[in-house]
Amino acid sequence: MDSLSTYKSALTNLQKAGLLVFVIVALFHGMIANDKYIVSGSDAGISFFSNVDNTDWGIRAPIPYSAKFMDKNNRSVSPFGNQDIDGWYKRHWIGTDKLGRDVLAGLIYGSFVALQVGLGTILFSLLIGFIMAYLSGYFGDSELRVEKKFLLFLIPLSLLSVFYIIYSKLIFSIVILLFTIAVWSFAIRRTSNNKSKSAGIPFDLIIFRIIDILHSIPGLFLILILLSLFNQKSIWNVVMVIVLLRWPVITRHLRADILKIKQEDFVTSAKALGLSNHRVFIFHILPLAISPVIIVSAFGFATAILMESTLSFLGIGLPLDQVTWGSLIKQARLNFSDWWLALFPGLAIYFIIVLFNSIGERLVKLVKNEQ
Amino acid sequence: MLVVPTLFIISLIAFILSKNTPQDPVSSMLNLKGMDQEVLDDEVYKKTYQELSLDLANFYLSVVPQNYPDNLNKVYKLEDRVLYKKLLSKGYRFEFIDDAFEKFDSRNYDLSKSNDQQGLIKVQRSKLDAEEFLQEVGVDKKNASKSRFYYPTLRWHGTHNQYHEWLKKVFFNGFGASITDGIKAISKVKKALTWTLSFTLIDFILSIILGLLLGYYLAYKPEGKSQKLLRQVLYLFYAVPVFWLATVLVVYFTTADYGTWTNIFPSVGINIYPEKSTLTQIVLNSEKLILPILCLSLHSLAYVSRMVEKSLTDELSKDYVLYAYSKGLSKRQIIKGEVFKNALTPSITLFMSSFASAFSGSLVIEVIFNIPGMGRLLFNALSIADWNVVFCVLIILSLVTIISYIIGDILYAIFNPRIKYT
Repeated sequence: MDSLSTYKSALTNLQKAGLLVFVIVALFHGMIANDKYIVSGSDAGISFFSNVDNTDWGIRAPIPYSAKFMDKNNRSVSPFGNQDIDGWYKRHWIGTDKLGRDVLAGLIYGSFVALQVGLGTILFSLLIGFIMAYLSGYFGDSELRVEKKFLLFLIPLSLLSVFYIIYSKLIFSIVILLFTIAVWSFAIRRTSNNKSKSAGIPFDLIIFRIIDILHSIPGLFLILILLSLFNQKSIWNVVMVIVLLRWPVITRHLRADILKIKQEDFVTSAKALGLSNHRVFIFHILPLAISPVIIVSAFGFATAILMESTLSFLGIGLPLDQVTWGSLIKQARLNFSDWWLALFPGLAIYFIIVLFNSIGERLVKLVKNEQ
Repeated sequence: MLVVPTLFIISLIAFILSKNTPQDPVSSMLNLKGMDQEVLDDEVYKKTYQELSLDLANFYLSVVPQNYPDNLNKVYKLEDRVLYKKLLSKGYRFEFIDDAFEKFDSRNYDLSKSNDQQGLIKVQRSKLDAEEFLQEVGVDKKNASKSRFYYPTLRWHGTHNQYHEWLKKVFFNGFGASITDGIKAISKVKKALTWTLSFTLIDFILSIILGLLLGYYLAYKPEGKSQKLLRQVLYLFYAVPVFWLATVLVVYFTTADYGTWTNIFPSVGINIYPEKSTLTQIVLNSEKLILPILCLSLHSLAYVSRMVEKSLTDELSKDYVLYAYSKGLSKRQIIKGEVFKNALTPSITLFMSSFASAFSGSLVIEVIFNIPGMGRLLFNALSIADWNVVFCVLIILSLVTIISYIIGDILYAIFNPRIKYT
């Protein structure tokens, strides 16, 4: 059956190499481009990432600039032009921006930002997407039932807990939320099988209303409005907002498959054996429904990086001093003569998007051949 | 029809969100009028605050802890409101906090009246923590009653509230006035929408027509040499970020920095003729719109033609096509006569959703090319907390998007009579 190794073997060597390079550069960005010594030794002993000049020995990064380091003598220098530097080692290989920051170091740091945004978006949107698909696909509108007389007690309790969640501290809010969910699940468990006395909880209806609403506002406009709500700019705000737009995609794909698989005999027999709903869903349905999700995630990675770079190009969401691929291109728009600022970061974004799109297409082909 | 409830929920959510923004609409409005924050008079601030009807309650009713006042919005200073909220959430009663504020004010006033050097140092309460503030005033915390926090109480505010006022503005006053220049938000959005729709529609029509042709060309002879090349080129445009393509074109091809031949396109920016109508302005600026439309449509063209090719090749592998071949029909006849309609009917909804996503693309394009469309309007309005305009943009855009989906559904039903909407 679908396991990780079959997906791995589906990738071409070029894709594997591209992925590896991207992840390594992103994770070890501090060791590839840094203005400090990575390891240095002096009388005081060995230290890491220190800025001391009087070291006995030291290992420097291949690129002796970090993304925020400003080389005051070399502002807006072209890759091929004259640079005020001593030795080829200090050369700015693809130029600097208006403040004298090395573009190559910026690109390397930008890959870390891109990896964070991509991975964060995928993980959170998978989490939310799975839960929502479980509720809307597996339970639907009438699977989970609660006795009507319980509602007299449950609805006031839920309203009250909403009040306390809003007005108390975060830790109490979480406790109250969990407590409310526990009470609801207890009530669901105590509900008898008599359908006339109980009411189904319309998960499917509610979730698809939410998706409809999210779908009816153009994505970038929604992101812009939501990002203006945050006090501080940070990368995780951007991730959260992109997640809000991405989970419906995963839920929709997963739900379609769950609805199909739910009808199969083995699910009925698993239920007849007395397995719990969670168990049936996680171990018997999810493994069969996972391939579209992996494909959507591969495309989603590309989309997330594209959105993040668009946002930092517009100067929203991320802190202004954070160097990303998008913010480098933003600078190109302000000074037209610096052609290198427009070219190289754009190529980086382009290659990452092509990489993840081609991986997604490759997986689509694989799934098609299997069927 | 679910349009109305959807729009209503969007408006409600947007309203709740707007009440939680960190920006202060009053100070941004006063800034725009050219008044400096430092020398700002309290009275002026208060007057503007009341003019924007921010002193009313937020909604028809509210459920708050018992120690909360009837209407916290009457506290007109943003920093004070934040401090009030901090103290209230600690359980202190509103009257108690009010007293503390009064004491603080009178103490600061005494300090500034006295002539010695120390008197000039005023303590700014916006910089204080809740506990620090109480310490500064010197009140005894033990006397304060704190137990009422956990009783939820329902407060009824009647129709004299901000949401009601806003709804009135929406229906009778064109979404209210913009805080920048006092023009009705709806008339601003109308102008912006004309711009945005004009070039998204051109982009949409161009990309659909060319996309159908190219998709047909690609599917007709999938292994041909020129087709393979075209496929590569289309893939390039499909993956290129719109904002990068636009930036590259602007940087390299609108100036003479890189040789005289690169100065192909007119420079960025729109000529504004204030007296003329928006449509004539668009026509007069048509030369400057070439580049934005090119950027937008290259991307959507790639998307549409790839989609058309894919659905055509999928359809061509079906059994009835084999039967058509065996009748002696040529490939061209089969595609034109039988396959085209079958293949493309399911794609109609996708076409329409590409129209909606063109709005997202247009936002970036408008910011880059300085086109006064919806995207730039929203972008500017958000940066100065001009929420009347933001609401208007949001509602009108969702209306346009929903209408485009409905058109897609109707077209789908026309082309595929098996579908029936009940």
